[in-house]
Amino acid sequence: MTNETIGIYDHATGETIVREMTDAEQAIRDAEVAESNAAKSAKAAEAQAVEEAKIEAAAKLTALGIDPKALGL
Amino acid sequence: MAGAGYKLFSTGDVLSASDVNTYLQQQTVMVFASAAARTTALASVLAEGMVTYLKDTDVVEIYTGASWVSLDDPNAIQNSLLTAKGSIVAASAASTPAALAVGTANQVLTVDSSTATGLKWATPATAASGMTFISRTSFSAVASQTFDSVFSSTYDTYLVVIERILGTTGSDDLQLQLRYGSTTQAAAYYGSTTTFTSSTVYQQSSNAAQFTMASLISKAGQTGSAAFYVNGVGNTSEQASIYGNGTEAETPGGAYIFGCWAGTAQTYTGFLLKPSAGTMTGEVSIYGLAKA
Repeated sequence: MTNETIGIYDHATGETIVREMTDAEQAIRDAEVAESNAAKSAKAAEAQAVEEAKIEAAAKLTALGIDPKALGL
Repeated sequence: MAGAGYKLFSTGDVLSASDVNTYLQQQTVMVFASAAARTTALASVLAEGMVTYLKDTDVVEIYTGASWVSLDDPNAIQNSLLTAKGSIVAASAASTPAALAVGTANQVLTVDSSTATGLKWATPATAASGMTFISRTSFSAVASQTFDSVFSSTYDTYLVVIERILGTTGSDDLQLQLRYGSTTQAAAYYGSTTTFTSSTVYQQSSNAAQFTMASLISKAGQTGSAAFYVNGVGNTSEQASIYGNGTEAETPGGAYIFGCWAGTAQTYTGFLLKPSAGTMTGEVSIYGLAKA
């Protein structure tokens, strides 16, 4: 499997290198991407849970005969 | 003798040898081949006020009664003062012309009281203020782009401008890591980004492996841009800070501001940009901001 490409610019030498990642670099990259994706998923799940809790609370209030909108919810 | 003055001759007057000598010869500009020829010719008749022209030097001189001096001396600047191309005339004291030899390419004339003329040619100092371009790098479809050796002790603060940044998908974040030498700092980033679109989104990096500076960097075909300052880098081992803003390329469009602090002190010499997933394309310019 081909690894991803990285660019390296060194101002001291003026040299720009574009090369394929080494396996070690790709492993780090994969771990970072996985971490970022996991963080995003966790954040999305958290936002989803908050939204569901809001809906559930609104439903309970309605069942009690209270209009959630009247409470500003 | 020379200096006899003017005599009005009348009809019938006798022109004596003395009249010819004193009123004519000695009060004309006498022409000689050289100073030596003049000395020989005038040995016994030298008189104050005589004027000669020397053919070998093309100089008109006056006899003061003691010596021959150039007609325009001391109130004229002599050609001989300037001996080379680029020489200019200055003054070493009041009424004292002196030559200043040419400097070297790109030098400018500078006042310096320690020199003979009070002037010198000097290379202008590097501007002590303003912003200095360091580098511009384009990259295409890379998983990360490194910028090494761009931070040094020359500046305290740097401006980084990101243009036409484009990721692989609309959900990519733009992330940053600092570097020292060839090592990437992959821990202890603390910062947050606030993105304003149809809603406000906060994204925090707390003791993270990288700083997520933009929540989104692109949507296919729509490029974003950003600019941020970096300080606490390049001089000594410091905890760098990064702060800036940008616009994300995403419908309905928005803006983001961010700030970050690197919790680990290092003498940071560069940085790395990467998308949270996939690849990115764009251009980055780096400038140094003068210390004073």
